[in-house]
Amino acid sequence: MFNRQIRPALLAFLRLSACFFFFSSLFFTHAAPPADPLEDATRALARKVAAAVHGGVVSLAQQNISSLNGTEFSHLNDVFQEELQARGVKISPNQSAYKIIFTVASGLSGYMGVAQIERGDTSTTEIEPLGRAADFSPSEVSSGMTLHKEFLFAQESAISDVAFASGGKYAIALGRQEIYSYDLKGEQWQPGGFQRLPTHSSLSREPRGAYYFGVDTNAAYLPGEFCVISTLEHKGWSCEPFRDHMPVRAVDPESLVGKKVPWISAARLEADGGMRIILTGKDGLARLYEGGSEPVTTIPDWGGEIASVKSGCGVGWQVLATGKNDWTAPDTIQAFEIKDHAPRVVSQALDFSGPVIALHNPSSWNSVDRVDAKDAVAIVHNLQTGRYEAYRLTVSCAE
Amino acid sequence: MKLIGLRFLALSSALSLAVACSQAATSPRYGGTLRVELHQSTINFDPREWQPGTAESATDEKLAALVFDRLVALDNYGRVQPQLATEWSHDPAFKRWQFTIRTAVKFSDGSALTSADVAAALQPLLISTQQISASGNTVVLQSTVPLPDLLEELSSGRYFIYRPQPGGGLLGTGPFFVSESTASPLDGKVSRYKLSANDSCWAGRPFLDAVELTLNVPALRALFDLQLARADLIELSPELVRRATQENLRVWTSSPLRLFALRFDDAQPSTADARLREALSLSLDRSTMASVLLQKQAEPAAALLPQWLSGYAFLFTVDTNLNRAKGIRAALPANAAAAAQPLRLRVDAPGDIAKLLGERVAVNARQALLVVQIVNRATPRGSASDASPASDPPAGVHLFEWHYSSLSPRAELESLFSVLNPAASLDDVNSATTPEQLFAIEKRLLDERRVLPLIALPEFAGVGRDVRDWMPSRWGDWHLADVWLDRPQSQPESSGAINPENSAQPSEARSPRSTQLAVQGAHP
Repeated sequence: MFNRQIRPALLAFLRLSACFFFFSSLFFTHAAPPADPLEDATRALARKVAAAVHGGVVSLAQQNISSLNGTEFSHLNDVFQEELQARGVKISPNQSAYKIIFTVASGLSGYMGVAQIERGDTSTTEIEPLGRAADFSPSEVSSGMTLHKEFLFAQESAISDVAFASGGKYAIALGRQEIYSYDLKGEQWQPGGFQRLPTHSSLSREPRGAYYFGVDTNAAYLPGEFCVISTLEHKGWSCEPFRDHMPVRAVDPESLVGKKVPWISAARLEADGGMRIILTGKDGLARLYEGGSEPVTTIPDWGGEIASVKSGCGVGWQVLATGKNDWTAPDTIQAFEIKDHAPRVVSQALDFSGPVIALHNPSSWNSVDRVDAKDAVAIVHNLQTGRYEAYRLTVSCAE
Repeated sequence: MKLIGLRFLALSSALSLAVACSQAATSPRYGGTLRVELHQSTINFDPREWQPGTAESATDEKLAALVFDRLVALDNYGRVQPQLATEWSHDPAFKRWQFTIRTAVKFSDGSALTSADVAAALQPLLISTQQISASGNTVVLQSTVPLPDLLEELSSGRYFIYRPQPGGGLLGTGPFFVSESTASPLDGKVSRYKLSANDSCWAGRPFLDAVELTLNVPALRALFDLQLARADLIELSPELVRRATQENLRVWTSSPLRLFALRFDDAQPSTADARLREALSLSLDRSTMASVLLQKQAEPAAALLPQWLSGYAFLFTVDTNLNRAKGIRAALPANAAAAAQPLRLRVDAPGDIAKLLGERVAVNARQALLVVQIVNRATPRGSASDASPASDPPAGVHLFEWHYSSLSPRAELESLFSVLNPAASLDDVNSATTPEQLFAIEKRLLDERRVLPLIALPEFAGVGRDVRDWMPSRWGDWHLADVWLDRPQSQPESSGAINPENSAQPSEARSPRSTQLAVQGAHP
């Protein structure tokens, strides 16, 4: 029924892009791309040193006692030397009047560049706060059937869902009470801007949400709140209380009717000759349904987040499932097939730098009919950086 | 997608579920009471009464964070996050700061938070050069000196927002409120607090239904209670960390938060000679103190502020050089720190660790032919200050403990200086705006050797096996609002009504306001 209501709207899909980008220009605040603060501050430190040694000859030693890796530190060291030389300082291990010890340390406020300038028995110290590291974009990891992850983007604010539009060239990251836009430029996702939703209820401590692109209406589900915007009326977002279970993009609401177990995540896939529903429950068990209200089997080993992918490999569909850790530990995602009511591992486990707090099928119009779910999106809270990262997950067939 | 389609979606999904939906085992679960056991015998929730640097205020601050919010917070990565303030700005000189106060925030009694509440709460906590005023939904803080680190300062220490009650208690906007307090039949002091979840907390209802705090629990009993699952979270004494680890208990360790150091009394002629201070400094074997006495739970300290806070502590080094210490001693007057006139060391800090460290200082000093006499005498509050009665023989050197509190290195240094030498001017510290300036100030003090850092010690906690999402900050905030319990319990959503994952309003029938207590100061 839901699909029957939606399907006619597909005819108006071409209106979406124009409307949405108009809407974007109205409501989003655009952000400038960030500079590299570490490099700039390192140059500033070098300038201080150059002034202190009056363009003399110096010997240079360096140490890294920060969390920067060797490559990153080496780059900053090169920048430091380059700036010194540009300021007329000659670097020579011999016949130097000054010894400079260049150190990158870590403090609460971020990295700190320190230059100890020694001449004879006297020593002076120059310190320059370097700020924080720039975004770190993890490289793609790949290893029979292979599960791939592709880094999309990361941000400091929490993300509960990522949805795509405009043929996958425009994305919305749904936050706790706001939305962030991203544009695909070349192969990079660039942040566009953000907008706060006019929610009424208190924040939730759970980063859960769902974003829906419509033809002329978009919607965001947040814990306790449902927000909607018409791109035709230009009235902006409006929110109202929402006390029901959040919908799952890739699963028809009708197929969830009668499933009485409290659940958190749902996936729909073809297995054993028919469409099946899997729900992960509050009790830590995943349950497989063949259409009735009682499960045909339970799966104890999965975590709370699942999504289905139609790769065409193996039996055609796979379920991606997270591991069993809580949100203090790095998580994994692994692909499974369902055969004879039982899950079977079909891929390696992909490691992430933090817990996977959400796993969804992305909202693209190609997947509205719920048949073409080619990929999934994982939201990871990176425990090293504190940033929320979005990854696209795909399954490829064995060579 | 038409709006009607979305509404259908919502309605359809609602009809499909007759029970509340919640999280899988790997996702947060609501309900349960976290049982916390503490060494401290009293708790004072009133930030106006805390004395910086003391062990008591460190625990008070940790617990007050359950009840109160601050304007801003630093996340575990050191980034400023909005709390009761949603926006802030400052003038180019960093002397005028404006904060926009979050709307629709309520105290735990249901009354609304106003900017006037914020100004009234902060003014008593600010120093005389700072004034705060409220207008509309903003507050403006004006300072006579630049405050580039104001956000770090306001995100830590005692800068909580509260509303004094006519009866003397304080109301907060935090994730919990004090719903019960139980007095001990022995001395009438409060020995147990129950903090219940604040359902209307602006940041979302905490996962736990309640936190139960039991005070004055001896360290070893707390460890047994954790082993027997009679407690979920305990303060762990450093001497029990190894044992807890060997018994496979979950042990959490913070960054170094406690400094043990020696302070020379400027008023005592016995320590006026800089050479004596240098000799004593060179005799100290901090590595042994950290690795043997503290069983590798501590680290030698050469700076006043720890590396994680200042970023420059590595620039300070201290060496043990017994021969040089002896050489300096030989050049001193014969009666200085000798048997006839020993150098009196008073151990101001309470506890066995301080006593052991004092004894080790005396042993090290003796190796340099300096005679140090220990005077064990703990001061209950203000551990770094001299609170000895006039009848006590004067001590030339004090062993004190300092608990770091502020996330602003400048504010922490200022606080430490004000206690170390109340008479000294703090203008240079107050006006320091860069790490270079702070380094120079700290270096000057340490070069004079009027303060000799000994060791830095982290805080430890034992964490029960059912505790999930235990993600404290490395500087000691427990973040209990985000913790949940993974154990069978009665479901708070058991009313049978449809109640989705909206964490802000779990449907347990409960009226916190009918039972809540305004938080009272509890220390004498």
